[in-house]
Amino acid sequence: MSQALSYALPGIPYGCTFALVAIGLVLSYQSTGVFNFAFGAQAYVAAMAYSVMVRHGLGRGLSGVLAIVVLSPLLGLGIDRLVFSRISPGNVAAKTIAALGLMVGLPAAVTIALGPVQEASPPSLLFDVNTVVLRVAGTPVDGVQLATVVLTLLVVVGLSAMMRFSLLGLEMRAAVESPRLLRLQGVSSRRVTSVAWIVSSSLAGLAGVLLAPRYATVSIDNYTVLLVAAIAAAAIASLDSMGIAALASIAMGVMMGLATGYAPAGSVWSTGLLAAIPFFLLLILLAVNPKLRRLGQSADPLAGVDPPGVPILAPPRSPVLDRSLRIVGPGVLLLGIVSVLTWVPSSWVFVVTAGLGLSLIFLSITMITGAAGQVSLCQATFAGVGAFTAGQLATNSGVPVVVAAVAGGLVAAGAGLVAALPALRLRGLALSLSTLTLALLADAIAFPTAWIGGPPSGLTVPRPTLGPISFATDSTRPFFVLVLAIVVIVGFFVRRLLRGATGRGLDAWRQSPLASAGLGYSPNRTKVVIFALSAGVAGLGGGLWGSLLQVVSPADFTYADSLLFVVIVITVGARSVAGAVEAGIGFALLTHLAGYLPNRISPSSIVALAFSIGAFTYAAHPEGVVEQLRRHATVLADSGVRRMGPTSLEVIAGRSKR
Amino acid sequence: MSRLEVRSLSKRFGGLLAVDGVSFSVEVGECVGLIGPNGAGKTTVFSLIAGEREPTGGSVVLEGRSLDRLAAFRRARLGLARTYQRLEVFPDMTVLDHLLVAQLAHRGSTGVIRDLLGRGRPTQTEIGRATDVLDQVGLADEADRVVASLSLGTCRLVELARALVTSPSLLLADEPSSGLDAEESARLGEVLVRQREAGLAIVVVEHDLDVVAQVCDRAVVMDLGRVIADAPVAEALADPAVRSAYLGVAR
Repeated sequence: MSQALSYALPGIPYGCTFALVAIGLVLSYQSTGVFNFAFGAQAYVAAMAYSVMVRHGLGRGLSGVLAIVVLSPLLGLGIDRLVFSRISPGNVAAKTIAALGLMVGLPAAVTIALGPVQEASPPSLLFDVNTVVLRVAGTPVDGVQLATVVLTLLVVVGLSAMMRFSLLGLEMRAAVESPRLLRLQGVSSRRVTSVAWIVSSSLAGLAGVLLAPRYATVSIDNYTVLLVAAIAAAAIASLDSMGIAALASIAMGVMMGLATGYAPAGSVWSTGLLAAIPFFLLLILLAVNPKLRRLGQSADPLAGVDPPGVPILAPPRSPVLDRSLRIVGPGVLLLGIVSVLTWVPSSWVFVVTAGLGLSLIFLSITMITGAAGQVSLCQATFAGVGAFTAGQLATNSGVPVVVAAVAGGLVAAGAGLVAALPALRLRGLALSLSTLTLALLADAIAFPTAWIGGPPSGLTVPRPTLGPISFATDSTRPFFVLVLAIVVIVGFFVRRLLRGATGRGLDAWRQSPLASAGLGYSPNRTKVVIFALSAGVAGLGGGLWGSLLQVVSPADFTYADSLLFVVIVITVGARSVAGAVEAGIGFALLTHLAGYLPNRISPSSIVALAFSIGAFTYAAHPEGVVEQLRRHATVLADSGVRRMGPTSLEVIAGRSKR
Repeated sequence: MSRLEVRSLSKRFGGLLAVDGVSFSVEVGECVGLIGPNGAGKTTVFSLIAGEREPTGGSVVLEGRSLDRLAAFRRARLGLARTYQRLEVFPDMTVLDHLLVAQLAHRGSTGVIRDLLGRGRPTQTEIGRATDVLDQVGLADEADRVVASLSLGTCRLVELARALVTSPSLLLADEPSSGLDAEESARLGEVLVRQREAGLAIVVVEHDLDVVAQVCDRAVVMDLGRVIADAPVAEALADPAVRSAYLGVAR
């Protein structure tokens, strides 16, 4: 009994760390209507600021106050004013994408500001890890643990009371339901929402600073893992009650404490699976709790007053312009390909080939996010499955690399099928959450396993040979041709899917599930098929990508890559095959170019930051930045041509010709 | 054999019996008005027939075939089409696209393979059919408009056209005339009458009794989840029980 107690007790403060974040999630969801994926990133920013200030000798107290009471509220205000206040409350997809943009952009901004260095953990804000403050039933409780528990309790009680009993709490809830109705009551919904962001951001800051000493370094990954664990607790509370979320967090902590205590030391169970308990819990909850499936859907009675969104459909082009573009476009493309094959320096050929390889992975995002409107956050994981399968088959079983890459695609498609089955009933936020959880599970458990992700030194994926042709030459040019051919073939079929019954059906389902079923579309089957196909495309892309790098490791296919990829594709344009290719090549070129910046600026961070800022424009321009520019150009050119647009039949005839 | 047979259908929401043993049938080429005060359970009956909700009891039979175990999309493929009280359009699509999407949905289940083979685009016949139907409901000029930019009344007509384009055997129209102006309303009546004469079985939930009188042969009157009258329109509207339910005369 006393042994059980000694295992369970440390679980309480551990659970309280989940609780702080879980409460923050519930608070920000209730008070802003945003499911705040960026909560962990906000906590990370505060923790970094605190740590840097302490390191520069500012003192723990002052640094803590500056980080939690000054910086965090300002960050919250900025996020509200610059990002979320520009998105209408009913636009769930745009809110999710903006939050993902922050999740990618905030850590990137921190890295740019502080340089790409590891920040060692700061000392605790209150008390100290090494002082035993009191003993409960013989188990020592240190200062940090005590402070965590006490602060968690204070926060739960204080915030619950605010949301439930104060006028401000009532106004916050009203602002989420319908900002228009609140405004009609004479209350500035903007101010209320800003206050809500300030409060929730301060809470993120508090959590960040308080939790920082728990880890060896201040790293965004720790906060993301913490975030997802906290999401599990918040999910138990159906994002409804901070009290229940806190209790659930503590229960989870105790459970994990007990499991750690009784697990045989050094087993798979104690190294990987234990930490994954909250992830499994979250997956189960998402599958069984119908309330979670409806997450984020707004029921603003005045939503209809909002002006209609930007039509995704491109404006019709005049026939003259259309014809000339059909000559100019392929011409430019051909010129580019010929250039790569002839005079472009080989380091740049490598970059363009990498971009093409990435664009296959990006195509998988076009299929699931562009067509079905669902944000999947594990596409890099599928790419990893493909790359590792290809590598294992090629190095250990001597399978030809091209065959191994295709097999990698098939295995990834299988993985996608399995992943899609629990996701069958999920859409919107719930689907994003479950795919993010899957990505984290793969990072934590599957990929580090040697027979999947290869030895710690990395897994070799050789360059392929096709009959007499070897692509393993010093120049990347032959391999470029191979990847180009594969992209063209896959792109051709994806385009057929997007423009055919599947794409239109998904489009219909995205916009009105009820009506699309009423027309005879079976959403589940199409969803599973498209999910599996997109995973397969990602897997094939991963295999090729691996073959280009020649050595891959789990670090190449993390959850963070999935996030970044989604943000990139959405920013550039998720609704067309061309968009995916532009995104892939654009990303590769920009990252390469950023390498010429001064050393202290990390190229990947600056590019990530740029694309995440692009993601904030999604609400205004769901068609993507490139398509938006193209439309501006079309309008300009068309006004030169000054002709009426073609009729619908001409448009369709034009489409089927293209 | 009746086109549609509804047999003692009921639906309970918690403590509320929203639909209580509703039975009626619709013949080929017949238009039935399902009328009654707000909250009578009319829309719930529609959602039970269409398969959007699971009934607590009773059954639905379309052309002699029981629909009870079929999901909504399967019922749609068997020829059941509907419009919605609260609009369910696809805001980003053009009017014409709505009709093409509906026809593509009816081609069958091997959509992905067909698409990969390059046969997933609308055919000339399908485009022709769509233009015909748009002509019928008076939307020919709006074919290229994105639906988000249209008025409520026009959207209702889009829903109607989308339902009709697949040549269904049964149409459930839920308050098709609400939000329509007088001219649109008259056109709606004409369209429904023409469809009925062509053999379509129609059930209309409608508050505008003029429209009911114009297009319906028979009225099924509901109140508090029950059918209180099932008779030719003129007769049903004259029924004292109906008048008291509708006009709120003390019972």
